[in-house]
Amino acid sequence: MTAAGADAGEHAVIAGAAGAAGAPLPEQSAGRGPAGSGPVLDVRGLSIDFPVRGGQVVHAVKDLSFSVPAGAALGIVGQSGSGKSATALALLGLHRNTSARVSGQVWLNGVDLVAASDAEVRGLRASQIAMVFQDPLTALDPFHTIGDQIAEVYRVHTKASRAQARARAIEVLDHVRIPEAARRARSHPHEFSGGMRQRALIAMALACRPKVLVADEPTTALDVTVQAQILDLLDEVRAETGMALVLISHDLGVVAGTADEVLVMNEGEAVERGPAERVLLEPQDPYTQGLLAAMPRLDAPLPGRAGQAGAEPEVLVRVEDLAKHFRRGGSLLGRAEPFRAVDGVSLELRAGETLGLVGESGSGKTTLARMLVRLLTPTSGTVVFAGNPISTLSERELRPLRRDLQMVFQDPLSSLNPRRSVGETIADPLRIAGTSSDAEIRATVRELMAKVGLDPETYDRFPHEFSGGMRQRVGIARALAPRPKLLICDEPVASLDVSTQAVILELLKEVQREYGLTVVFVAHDLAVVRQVADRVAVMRFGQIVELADAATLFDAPQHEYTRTLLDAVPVVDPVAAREKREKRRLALAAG
Amino acid sequence: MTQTVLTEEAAADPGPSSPPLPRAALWRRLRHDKAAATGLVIIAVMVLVAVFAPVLTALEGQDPTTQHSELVDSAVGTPLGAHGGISGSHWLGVEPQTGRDLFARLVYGARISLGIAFGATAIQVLIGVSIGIAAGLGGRLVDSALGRLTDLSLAFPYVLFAIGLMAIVPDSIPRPLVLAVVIALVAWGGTARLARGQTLSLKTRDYVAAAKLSGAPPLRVARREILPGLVTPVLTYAALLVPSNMIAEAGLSFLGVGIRPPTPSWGQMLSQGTTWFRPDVLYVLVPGGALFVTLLAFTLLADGVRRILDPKNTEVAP
Amino acid sequence: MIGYVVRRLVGAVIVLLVLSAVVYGLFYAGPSNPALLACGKGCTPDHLAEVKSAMGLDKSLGDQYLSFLHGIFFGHDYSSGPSVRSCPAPCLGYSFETDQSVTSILTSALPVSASLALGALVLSLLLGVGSGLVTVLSGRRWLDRGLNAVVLLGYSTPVFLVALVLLIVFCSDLKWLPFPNYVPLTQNPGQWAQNLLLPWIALALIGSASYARMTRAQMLETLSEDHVRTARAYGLSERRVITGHVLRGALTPLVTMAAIDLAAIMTSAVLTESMFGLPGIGHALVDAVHGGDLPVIVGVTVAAGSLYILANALADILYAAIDPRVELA
Repeated sequence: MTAAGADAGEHAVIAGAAGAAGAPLPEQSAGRGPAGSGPVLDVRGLSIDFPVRGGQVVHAVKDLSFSVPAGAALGIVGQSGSGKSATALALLGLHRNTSARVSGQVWLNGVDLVAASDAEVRGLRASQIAMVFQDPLTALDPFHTIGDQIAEVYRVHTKASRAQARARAIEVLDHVRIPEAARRARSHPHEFSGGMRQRALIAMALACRPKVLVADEPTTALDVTVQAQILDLLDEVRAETGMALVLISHDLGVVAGTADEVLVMNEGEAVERGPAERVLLEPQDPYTQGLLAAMPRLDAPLPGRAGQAGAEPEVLVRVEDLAKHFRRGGSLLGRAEPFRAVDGVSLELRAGETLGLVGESGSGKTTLARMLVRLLTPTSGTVVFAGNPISTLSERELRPLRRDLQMVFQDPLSSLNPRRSVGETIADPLRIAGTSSDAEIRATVRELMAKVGLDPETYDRFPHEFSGGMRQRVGIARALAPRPKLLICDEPVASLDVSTQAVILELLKEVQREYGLTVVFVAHDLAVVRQVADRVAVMRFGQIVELADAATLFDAPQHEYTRTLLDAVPVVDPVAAREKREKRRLALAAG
Repeated sequence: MTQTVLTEEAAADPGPSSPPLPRAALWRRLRHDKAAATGLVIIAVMVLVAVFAPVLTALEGQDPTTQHSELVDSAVGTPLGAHGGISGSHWLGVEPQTGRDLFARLVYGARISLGIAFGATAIQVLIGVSIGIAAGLGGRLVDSALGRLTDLSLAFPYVLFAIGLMAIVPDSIPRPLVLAVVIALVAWGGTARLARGQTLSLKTRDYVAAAKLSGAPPLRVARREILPGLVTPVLTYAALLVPSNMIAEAGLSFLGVGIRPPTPSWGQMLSQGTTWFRPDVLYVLVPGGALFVTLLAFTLLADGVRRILDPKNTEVAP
Repeated sequence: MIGYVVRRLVGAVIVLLVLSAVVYGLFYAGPSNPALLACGKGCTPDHLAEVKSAMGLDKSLGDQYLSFLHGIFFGHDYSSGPSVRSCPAPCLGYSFETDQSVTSILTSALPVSASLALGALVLSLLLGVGSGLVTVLSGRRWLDRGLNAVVLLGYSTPVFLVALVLLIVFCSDLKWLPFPNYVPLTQNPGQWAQNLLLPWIALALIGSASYARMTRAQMLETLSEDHVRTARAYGLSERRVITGHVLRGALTPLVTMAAIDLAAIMTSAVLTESMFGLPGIGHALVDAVHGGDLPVIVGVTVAAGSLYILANALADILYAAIDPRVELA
C-alpha cells in the first residue's frame, strides 16, 4: 500500500466530531484535522430551485446548512426526491450554466462556490473538491484510456509534464488497489469490470489530492460484495490522506459504517443531523424513525413463518439439472464459447412455501426464475410443474397451464403497457381466457384492485398517473387475476423507496396467505429475502451453492460464498458496521 | 446526395415508452406550432386541388391533354401572347410547342404527383412494418433471413434501379401505378429497419412478457402490445417519406423515365420547362414552384409531427 | 477485429451475388425482349438472330447468368458468325448499340462521377458540419432556428431545381461562369474544378442539410452525456471539454455516413449529371434506358450496386475501428 505522497502526515488529535456514544475506536483518530481548525466545507442556507414547464418551480433544496470538519466523514441520506443529488452537484458548482437557481453559500477553502467566478470554481474542482459519480461506465469517456483521463485532470491543475502526469495516474491507480496498474492505465473504461471502474473513478478523484471527496451514490450500481469493497476503500483512503468525505446514499446501511455524522434529508430539508451512532440507533425525528423501521434488517428477529402443520408438504415443482446457455456472437468463423447463464440447477418447490433466490448480477437467478414460468426455454434439463413437464411442452399445450404460472416484475414502469388503463391491464388475462362476460371481468378486477390496496374507481386511469408503489400493486393484481398456483416475484421491491418496500412486502405476504400461493422470491438484497423466505437458495455463476431454510442460512451459513455475501451486507448499526469492516479487512489480509 | 437517405435521427428517435398524449393535447400542440400548421394547411389545399381537378378544369373550360397549336408560334413554338399566353380561358397560359393548357396540366399533375407519393408511402409502410415486426418477433433464423432481405433492399442504388426497372416494364400497365410500386419496392428498407428496431426494443419490455404469461398467442401480442408502440415512430418516419417519394417521382419523370406525356406530372413539366425557360419562364416557374411549395409543406409538417409526438418535448406549449 | 472484417466482407459479397442474380433475372427474364432492344432500330430478322446468338440468349437463363459471372472474372467473347467482339475481364456485358463493352463505358464514366462525388462530399461536410457546430457551440437560439429553417429548405428542394436555379443565375443571367462542360482532371485541373463548381454547389447545398442536422443532434446528445459532466466536474475548461471529449463521440457516426454518401452520390447523382451534362455513371444509364440498351442497363446497375454494397461494408468496418465500444458480434 503506497502512501499518497506528503498528505500522509496528517495524523493529529481527535476532532470533536466523534459524538457522545463512548470513546471512538482507535482507527478512527487517524486523518482527522486538529481540534479547533475551521471546517473544510461549510454550507450555509443552500437553496436550489428548478424551473419546470408551465412556469412553476420545484424547490429541490430548501435552506440547507451543514459543515464538514477536515478529515471527517458526513453521510447524507435521503429517498428519491429528497434533494440529496442536487446538493451534491451544488458542492462542485455543477449547476452553473444550467436552468437551476442556486442561492446561499458553499464555503470551500475560503471561497464561496455560489458567488465565485467560473474560472475560480473550475480551479477548485478536482484540486480541492472532487466527485465520484454513481455510474462509472457512463461517467468515464469511452474513447480515452483511464490513464489518459487521469493524467489530463492532473495536468490541468498542476504544472506537471506529460510523464509526471502519467506517473501520477499509475500511482493513484495502484493506491486504489487496481492490480497491474501500469498496464491497466492503458485500457479503456469498458474493458474494466464494474467494481474496477469505480475504483478507477475514485483514483481520478484522488489524483490532485483534494481536501474533500463527494461520493454520490457510489455503490448503487454495484453488487453487494463489490459495494463493500468500495466502501472499505473509501474509508481507507480517507484515513490515509486526511481527506474529508461526503457520502450520499438512499441506503442507511451504506452510510452507517463510514460516516461520523449523518444528515437525513426529506423533500429538500434536513430533518435530522447528528453523530452517526445517535441518528442511526436513537433517531429523534419521526421521519428517520419511520425510515429505520421500514428497512429490512439482517439483525432483526426472523419473522414467524406459519409452518405447515404435520405431514411433509407435497412437491409442486421439481427442477432437474436445468441449464440455459446463450450463444455468443461469431457465427461465420469459429464458434464462441456459449454463456452459461444457468449451469445445472436442481431443486424442489414445496406447495405453499416461499423460496428466496439470491445472488449477485450474472448469477443466473433471473434466468432461472423465467424458466420456471416458461418465459425462457431451457437448453437442457426439466421443469415439472404439478406433474406436467412444462419445460418441454409446445406453446399450444402450455397455454392452459399458463394461468397457474404468474410473475411480478421488477420495474413498475416497463411492466405495464403505458397505453392501457390499469383496469384493463389487470383484466387482460381474464379476457384472454374468454370464459367470463365483460361485466363479470370488470367486477373481478375491481375486487382485485381493492384487495391490493388500489381504489377501484381508478380502473380507467393510466399507469403514468400512479406512483411506483401503486404501479407495483397493479402488477400484483394482474398476476393474481388468473388465480395462479405459482408466483415468481423477480426483484419486486428493488425499484421502490424503502418505505414503500415494506408496504409491498407486507402485501405480498398477505396475498400469499390468502391465495395459498407458492412463491419464488428473487432478489439481490439478502435482508429483504430474510423477511419473506422460508428457504433460501444462493446462486453464483449459474449454480446453486447453498440451499437451506432461512434460519440456518443466515445464522450458520455453510458455503464460503454465502458467508462472503452476508459479511458484505451493510448494517445500520455503526458499531456493528465497523466490526464487519474489520472482519473483511482481516479476511483480505489473510488472503 | 440521394435525398432518400432519410434522416438517421428519425430512425434513431424511437418512441419512448412514456404515455401517449391524449388527442386533445396533440391538437392543441399542432395549432400552436405555426410551422407545422402552415404545412398542414398547404398540403390540405394541394390535396383538395388534386381531388377536385376535374371541377377546377371544368370551371376554366379546358382539359390537360388537348393541344392548341393555334396558340403557339408555328415556327419557334413559343406561346403567343404575354407571359406564356395567359388569358381568360387559359389562366396560366399554355405550354410551348403543344399549346396544352398549363393550369389544367398543373392541377391534374397534382393528382399524379401526390397520388404516387402517398401511394408509394403507403406501400412502403405496409411492407416495411410487416417485415420489421416479423423479423423482430420471429426467431433467430427468421430475423436473419429478413435482415438480409432488408440489407439487400437498402443496398440497391435506389435511383439507378428505379430507372432500370421503368425501362423494362411494359406500357400496358398504367404508369402511375408502376411508378408508385417501383419507388416503394426500392425504398422500403428504411421503414423495415425502423420497425424491426422498435419491435426488438419493445419486445424486451416486461409488459410483453406479462402478456405471454397471460396466455396471449403471438398474434395477439403483436397486435395489442407491439403495434401500438410502433405508431409514433413509423408515423414520424412516414411523414418524411412522402416528400422523399415525391422527389423520386419528380426526378424520374424529369429524366423521362417516369410519367410520360401526355399524362401530366410536375417533374415532367419541369423537365421540358428547362429548355423553354428563356422565352417562357412561367413554364418552369409554375410546376417548379408548386413542387417546391408542396415539398416544403411536407417537410414542415414532418418536422412538426416529430416535435409534437414527442411527449418529452418541453419547448412546445403544454 | 480481423474476424469482423472478414465476416463483413463475406456478407457483402453474398449480398452482391444475390443482387447481381436478381438484377440479371429481372431484366433478362422480364417482359421485355432483350435481343430486340439491343438490336436497336431498323432491326432485320437476320440481324436479330445474330444478336440473339451473340448475346447468348438462346441459352437458358441460368446458363446466361453463369456466363455473365464467368465473364466478370475471365472476359467473354461475343461471336456471331465471322465478327467477334472481344470483351476483356472484367466483362460486364457488351453494348451492341454503341459497339463497346460495358466496362469501357464505365471506365470513362467513373472518373466523372468520382470527381463529382468527392467535391460535393467535401463541400457538404464543410458546410454542414461547420454550420451544425457553429450553431450548437454558439448557443444562440436564433442561430438554431435559422439553421433549422435552412435545413428544412434543403430537405424539401429537389436537386434538379437547385441546379436549374444555379444555371439560370450564374450562367445565363450573371454570366459569371460558362455552361459546364466536363474537362478531366488530368487534362486541365483549373478547368476541371471550374466546370465542376456549380454541380458541387448544387449537391452540397442540399446534402449539407443532412449533415448539419445530424451534427447538431449528435452534439446535443453528446453534450448531455455523463462523461462530459465528469470532465466539467474535474475542472476542465469548456473548450477542452469540447475538443477533447465531445467532438470525437459526436462526429464519429458522421464519418460512416460520409463513406456511404460517397458511394451514393457516385451511383445516384443521375439528375445532377443530367442537368450539367456530365458524362458520368448515371448519365450512361439514362442514355441506355432511352436507347433500350439492356446489357448496359444490367452491367451498370450491377457495378453501381457493388460499389454501394462495398461502401456500406467499409463504413461498418470503419465505425468498428474508430469506436472502441462497438461489440464485434
